[in-house]
Amino acid sequence: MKLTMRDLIINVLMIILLIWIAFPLFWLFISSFKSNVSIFDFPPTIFFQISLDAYKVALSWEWLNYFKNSIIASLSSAFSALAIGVPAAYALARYEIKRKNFTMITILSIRMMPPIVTIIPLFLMFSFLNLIDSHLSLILVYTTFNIPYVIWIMRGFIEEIPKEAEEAALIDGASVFQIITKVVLPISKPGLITTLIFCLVQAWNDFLIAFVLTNVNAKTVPVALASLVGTRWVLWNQLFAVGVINTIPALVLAYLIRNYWVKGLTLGMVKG
Amino acid sequence: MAKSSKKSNIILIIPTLIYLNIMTFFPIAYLVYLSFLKWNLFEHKGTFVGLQNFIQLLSPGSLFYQSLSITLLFAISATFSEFLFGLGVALLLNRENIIAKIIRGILIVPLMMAPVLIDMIWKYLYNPVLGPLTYFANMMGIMQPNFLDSEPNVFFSLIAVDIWQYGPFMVLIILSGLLSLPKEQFEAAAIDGANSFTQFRYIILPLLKPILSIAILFRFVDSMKVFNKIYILTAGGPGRATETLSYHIFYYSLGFTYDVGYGAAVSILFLIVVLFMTLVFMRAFMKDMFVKGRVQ
Repeated sequence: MKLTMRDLIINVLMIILLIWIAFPLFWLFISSFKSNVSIFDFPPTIFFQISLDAYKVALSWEWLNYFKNSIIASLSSAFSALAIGVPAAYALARYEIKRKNFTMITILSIRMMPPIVTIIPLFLMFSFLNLIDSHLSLILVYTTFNIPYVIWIMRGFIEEIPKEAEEAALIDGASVFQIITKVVLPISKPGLITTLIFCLVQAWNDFLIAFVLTNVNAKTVPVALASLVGTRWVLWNQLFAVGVINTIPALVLAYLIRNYWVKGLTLGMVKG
Repeated sequence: MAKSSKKSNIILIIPTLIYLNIMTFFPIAYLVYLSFLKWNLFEHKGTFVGLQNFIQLLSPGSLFYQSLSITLLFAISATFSEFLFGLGVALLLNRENIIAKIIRGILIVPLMMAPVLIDMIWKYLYNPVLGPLTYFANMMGIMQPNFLDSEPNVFFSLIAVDIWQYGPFMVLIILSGLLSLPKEQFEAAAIDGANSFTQFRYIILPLLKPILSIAILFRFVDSMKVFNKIYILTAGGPGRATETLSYHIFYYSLGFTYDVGYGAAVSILFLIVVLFMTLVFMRAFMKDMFVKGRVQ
């Protein structure tokens, strides 16, 4: 009897929790199918005529262009960060390096640093170089903020794989670069994919950096979304339709690495 | 490994070092230079004023102190409430149960959504004219809930959004900690007659300490940087009540007065505060990580 009472309380608490988490997501999703008229209903309606008004706008050329910009910025920055960071992660995992901890903590402090602090001088520097509103400026900055993820996450993954294969390759006369590309990376594939996805999602979802550095040509989806809010009549259904489309790829990627969420979120500090 | 690889060690790290130096230490050096200038962005050039910006913002009753205390208040309350939420929910979900399984799966959703989108959803939910939460409040007899335009409501509203958004971060980390706990200790403790509270207090909590420190560190530092939420939901208002440092810096250097020198001076102090707190925290709670670069 005592046990069932406890189970009941636990289940009630879990249902409350489920509602708390799902309620905003539910509203986001259903509101994106409202028409330009029914989105302004008050009290807000749950049952309504399903309309694709909002998705027609969300898939118009204007928005597809913002999606294109987001894709360019996140893919390029994620791959650049991997190219720059993976060799360093390997060296930090395997070799005796002077002041290794200092290096690791310094790299971590870039993750901890408030982006607003560097983005204003970078904005001025990019203005002098005529790089404002270009893909390049965004890619350069996103790469910077992705490198700490690459180094910390990949170092953890590399340290976990046994050294024997690398030692054998070294005896066979392979160079360090061959060892990294042919031996280490194939074994640490889950690590590589986890890192790539965290880098992609981070750049994909960024607002502040793109907001300061772009205005028309390289504007990304989050910035375009935010610019809808200042206007007097927000067509929330359109905003939410874009939001739904923007969220889907991130969720698919997250699902692919479902066993490594905690590792990614904590830069490999907690082994999930 | 072999001695012959000494040279290649350096070659492997050099690209990272060069890149990060150019992209962070160089802008920060430029930031220091800017902080000695009085420079309105509409003017062609700034004038050198020495420490005047710092004197201005460190004078008693300055906007900097006000903004710093708002930032710390937000960061401490957000981190603390997310910590309690995370611990409670993780203990709740740490069981084989179909609802628990579903919740564990959707916890990642807020963490993978664009933060700006989350802020927009809540701006809609809180909307005084058509928001669903306004409707629920009306049903409960609160006619004008003023979620975002009055103090102290605005703080609770912002923290509710923050818990929704980042509570799952705490939950996922604590859950993974709970899963890694050695089962034998609980069995032994149960035989010794320890009830679930003493088990939690004397076995679970100490074992979880390293993981909890990491989760708290990340959340505290990240909530000090809060910008999107303020920009979208309150624009620093009502009045200046929610003008956190990130928003203050943005507003003064690129939004309102275009006074980059002042913004740079605030940025430097902000950077010092954040990095100082990170290092102090890591030294205090994560000695292991300081020595070995990792916990466990």
